[in-house]
Amino acid sequence: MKGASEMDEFILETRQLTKKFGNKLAVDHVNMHIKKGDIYGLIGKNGAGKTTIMRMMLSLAFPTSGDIYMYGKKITGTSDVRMGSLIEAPGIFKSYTAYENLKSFCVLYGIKDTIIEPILKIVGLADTGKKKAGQFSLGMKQRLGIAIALLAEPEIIILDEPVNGLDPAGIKDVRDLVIKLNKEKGVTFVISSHLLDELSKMVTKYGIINNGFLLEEIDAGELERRGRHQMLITVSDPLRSADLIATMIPPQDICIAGNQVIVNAHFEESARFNKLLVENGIWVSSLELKSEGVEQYYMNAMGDMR
Amino acid sequence: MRQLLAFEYRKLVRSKALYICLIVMAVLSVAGVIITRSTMNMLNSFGGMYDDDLMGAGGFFSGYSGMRYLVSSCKGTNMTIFFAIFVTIFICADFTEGTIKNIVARGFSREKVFFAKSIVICSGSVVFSILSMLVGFIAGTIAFEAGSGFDGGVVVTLLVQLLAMIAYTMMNVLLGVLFGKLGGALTLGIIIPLVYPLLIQLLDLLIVVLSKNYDVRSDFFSRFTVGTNIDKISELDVPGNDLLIAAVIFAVYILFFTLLGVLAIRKKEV
Repeated sequence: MKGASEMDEFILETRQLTKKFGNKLAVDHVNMHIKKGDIYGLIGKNGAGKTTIMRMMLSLAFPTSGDIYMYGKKITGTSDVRMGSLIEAPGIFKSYTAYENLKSFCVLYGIKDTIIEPILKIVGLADTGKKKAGQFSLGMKQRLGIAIALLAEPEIIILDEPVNGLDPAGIKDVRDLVIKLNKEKGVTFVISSHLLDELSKMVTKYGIINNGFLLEEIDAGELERRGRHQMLITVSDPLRSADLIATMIPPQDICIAGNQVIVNAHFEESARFNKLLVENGIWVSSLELKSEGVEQYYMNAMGDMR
Repeated sequence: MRQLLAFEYRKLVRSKALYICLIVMAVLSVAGVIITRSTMNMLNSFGGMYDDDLMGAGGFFSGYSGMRYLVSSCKGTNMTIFFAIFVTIFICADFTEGTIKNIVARGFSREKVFFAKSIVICSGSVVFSILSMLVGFIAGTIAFEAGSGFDGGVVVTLLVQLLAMIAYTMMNVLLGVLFGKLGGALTLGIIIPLVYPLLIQLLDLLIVVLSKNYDVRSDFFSRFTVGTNIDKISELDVPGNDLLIAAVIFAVYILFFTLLGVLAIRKKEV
């Protein structure tokens, strides 16, 4: 039995969350733990169950079994939850302007419309004037969706593929906005995305999901530590270089790719490798340490499942 | 609930479909009156008949007046089509635009969402019906005469007619909630009021044929349809008993559609 303080540690938590569609198990007894201030990246391939989990968190879909808790209190469909969301396509009135959209939701949420202008500035839509939301670009619609999610100062915002279909500038805008809100306002985020490298630029914790099953939850720092590292040495003669380095470390830690010698581990020896190669008349163009990214970590995790 | 109502009313008054339907309804009502009056004028010119001959007792246009248009403006297929269009557009908008997610995700219960939508769109339908009655009355008065007999009975008749309009509205609300998508809801919203009475009449006919008793009432089922009852009470001087029966039938339909609607939205994943 968990104590109250331990339970309240998580702003959002799922316990044995399960969803079946007919006989298909879409979400399989998922236990997620999201702390206040986290930017939680939910990653998995298409149909893994990411959107279904998010929809259940927001009471848009009903769990077959299991529960969702906010600060240790069970969320029901009618809870007074301060959650913002952008699930699938943004829910906006296409015949309204950005201001009118936010005004309508201010009326719904019972908040003053003085909040609209600052939020439009935050999401970069302050200058859209009388342009209808239906005429917005995909990126602008996404930002308007996020603006609606920001109304009533939510403690947690759930974003499902928020950068899908955006151009690089749009992707950067959304990323900067998420980081800004997280740092300045302390907003907690749960974000799903296929763009793992993009996600890695903002996420503080990952949940890796496959076939509805949560394989692992891991902090971004821990993932970095656990990730495999390699030293890439670009040289004029890779074959001779590999032979020379093999006199210092086990040969199985060395491989060759093009004009590069790739060394796994033994990174503390980098200066000695360099000296050895140069003393033997080999030009060393570069020597860099590369760590495995979230994408490779995810692929490895998926590979372990096969 | 207050916030939901304010939100839905805001949407209703900004709904283009409502205003377009109102304008088309007004144009059709006026056109109907003009066509009737023109036919009368033609008979006048060709047959040498005068208004008194045509509109007097026993005349072809006997009883045509603003009052008659007032009490008969809610009957016919026009109204059911208008309701199908603007009610389903209003109800389905949140589902098709995805805005329902912003409502439910903030903790508003599905039942409250349903009742807020129903209350707002029913009040819209009532305003729509009253305007239709007024347009009919004004056009009828201009083309013929105001007519007489406006009393408490007519007011009760009009109120019962409004119940029928609410029943049509709730049927379309139910279809909107069930389908979520405009195409299906709108199609059925138009078709059901047209096909349902025909099926009921066939059922009545079947009973007569099967029983081989041609004394059996041929409106055994059809006397319970909204259409039959709205036709029955779209006259001046409707007997109180007919009004009461119609009111009860309309109320049962409203209750039935409301209950089904609540059940549908409770199970609906958005």
